[in-house]
Amino acid sequence: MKGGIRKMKDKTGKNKMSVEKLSLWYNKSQALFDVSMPVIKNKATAIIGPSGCGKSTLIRCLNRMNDIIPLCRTEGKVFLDGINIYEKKTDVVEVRKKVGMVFQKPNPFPKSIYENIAYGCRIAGIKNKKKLDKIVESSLKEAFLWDEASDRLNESAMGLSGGQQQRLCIARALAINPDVILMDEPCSALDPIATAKIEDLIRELIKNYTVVIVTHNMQQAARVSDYTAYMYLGKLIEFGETKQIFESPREESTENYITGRFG
Amino acid sequence: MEFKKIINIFTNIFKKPFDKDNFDIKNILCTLSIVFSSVIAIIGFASTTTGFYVGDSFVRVSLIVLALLFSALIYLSYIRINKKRKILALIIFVIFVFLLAYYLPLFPPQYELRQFDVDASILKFMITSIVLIIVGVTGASLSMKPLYNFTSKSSQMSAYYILVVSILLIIYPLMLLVGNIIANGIGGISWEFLTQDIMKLGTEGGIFPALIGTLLIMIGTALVALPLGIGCAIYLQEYAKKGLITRVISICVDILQGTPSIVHGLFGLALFVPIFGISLLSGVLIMGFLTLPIIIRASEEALRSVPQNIREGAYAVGATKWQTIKTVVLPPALPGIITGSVLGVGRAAGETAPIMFTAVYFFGAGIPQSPFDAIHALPYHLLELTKLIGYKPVEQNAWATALLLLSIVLGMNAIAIIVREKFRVEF
Repeated sequence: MKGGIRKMKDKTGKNKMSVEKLSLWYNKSQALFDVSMPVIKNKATAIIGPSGCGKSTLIRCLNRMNDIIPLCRTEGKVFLDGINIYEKKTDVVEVRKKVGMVFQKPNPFPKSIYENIAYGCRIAGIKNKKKLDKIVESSLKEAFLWDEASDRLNESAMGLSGGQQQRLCIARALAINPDVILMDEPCSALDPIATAKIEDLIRELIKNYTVVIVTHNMQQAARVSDYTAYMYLGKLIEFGETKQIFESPREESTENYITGRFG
Repeated sequence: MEFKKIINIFTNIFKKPFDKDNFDIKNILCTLSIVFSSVIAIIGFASTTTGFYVGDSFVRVSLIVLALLFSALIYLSYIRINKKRKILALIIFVIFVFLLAYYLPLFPPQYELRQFDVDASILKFMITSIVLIIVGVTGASLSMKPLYNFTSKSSQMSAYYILVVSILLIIYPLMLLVGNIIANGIGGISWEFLTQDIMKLGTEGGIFPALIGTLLIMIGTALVALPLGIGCAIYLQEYAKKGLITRVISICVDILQGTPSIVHGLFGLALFVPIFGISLLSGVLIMGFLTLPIIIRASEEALRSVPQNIREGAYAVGATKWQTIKTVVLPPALPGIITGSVLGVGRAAGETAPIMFTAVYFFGAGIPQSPFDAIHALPYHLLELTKLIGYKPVEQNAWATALLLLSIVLGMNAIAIIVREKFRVEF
């Protein structure tokens, strides 16, 4: 990233990303209120909370996906490797190359499986066929899709099942070799078997990547994440290690939500 | 598929009364009434399109029979199940039919519209045929209900009947029109007709220059309108923030679309003819304006049908806005854009008014050597030939020209449909 560099104090050096006093407005209604939280390197961070609490909004701030929504306005800072990505001089495209994203509904392009994965590299200017082949293969392997898709790389991605499509989207995100992968309820449209596959995949991914996952499903958060953030009505109520959040939450609201008293 | 379904439903109507399990005189009566009403409607239909009057006694007898059938139906079926409002409506319908049976034949063969100070008249066959259609269709759909014992299926069936009839109402005149033009025009179409120059005010020779002129107009219109229209649609749909300015542009596009083509023609006369003269270029420019809104609207629709989450997927792997549009949004939208464009260009091929003052001569323009030459065009040639009918022997050539023009326009539409169906992208 060029220019606008502002180092932030990170005593431990573990923080891959860090959100500081982030507020966000959709037109006139405020969706996030002064959210501050770290995203720790090579760990999975889960964001949980009832519907409409701003989980998705927050995760979309981490790679400036909210920029494409009209009338959306943010205040505050989000640091990626110590650089504020909301700085005016920051190139959004560079941010998104480092912070990949997987969406709620699988959204493969209406192209072949190969082209879907090679897409990110192609638009970044990589034209070498051998290099692309290699990237496609390694990404598919990383997303545990190689066995199922290796013999139909040139078929349309729309012919894959929902779970396969979602893993394809993960492979597509991995292909550009990001540092962080954001997942916005990646399993909400999938059946339990496909969900289990994605969850295993997340545990594999954190060896090489930093993962942030938004989820409705508390068991899922407990299973896959190392850190958990609980949000309510646009505010971050509690952030801590997953074990601590689920076993001895400090806030009453967190406890109520986790024990299923509301939400 | 659909055709089979329709056939099935209609054979069902005939089978119903012969059901041995629930034999009922009412069912026979219903079927009879449906068939009779349908026949009346069909006769009315034939009468409108051919302009022939079916005769006083026929109208009187058929309407009275229909009214009697309905009276019997009321007695046999409606009275048994207690539906007062429906009975009332039906009785009014029967009385109305009786009154029509008495008054309709009294209508004079030609009713002059004197009181409006116009030189017009209503012909008897028009009134009777329209009344026959309305009464027939209403009667058939009404007698559908007792056939199915007023269950929810009965209203479904009567609605279905009306919908099928409305489809036929559209298809039949179209077939009549196309069939008529083909039957009259096919004799005039020959290799010489297509390749020879226009001679003796179109009474002899072919229409080669007009054919070339129309093709040039189509190509030119595409060149003018496609880049502008698609660009405008991409800007409106992908770039522009939804606000006052986009709304104003949108309204402008709508107004452009609603502008009568003759106004376009006069506008071109005032704006382009002083600069480029009566020429292909002037015609193409004004035709481009005419088709622009069609292309903009179709392209916008095609772009809108590409789901937002596909765009997000591209942004998420670091695509810029233009890369996203170019690689992810445009390819699946292209079939829709091409369809709209082909339809727009097809429209340009058939329009007369915009080029009338700006681009065409009836005689002597020849094949243009440069964009600044005047041209011949099929629709204008047809207009002039039609004016000459009665003075010169041009009828055969006029029909042939009409057939050629129609096949060009229909051909364009067929291409549009093929492109849309073949290259459609499913999400």
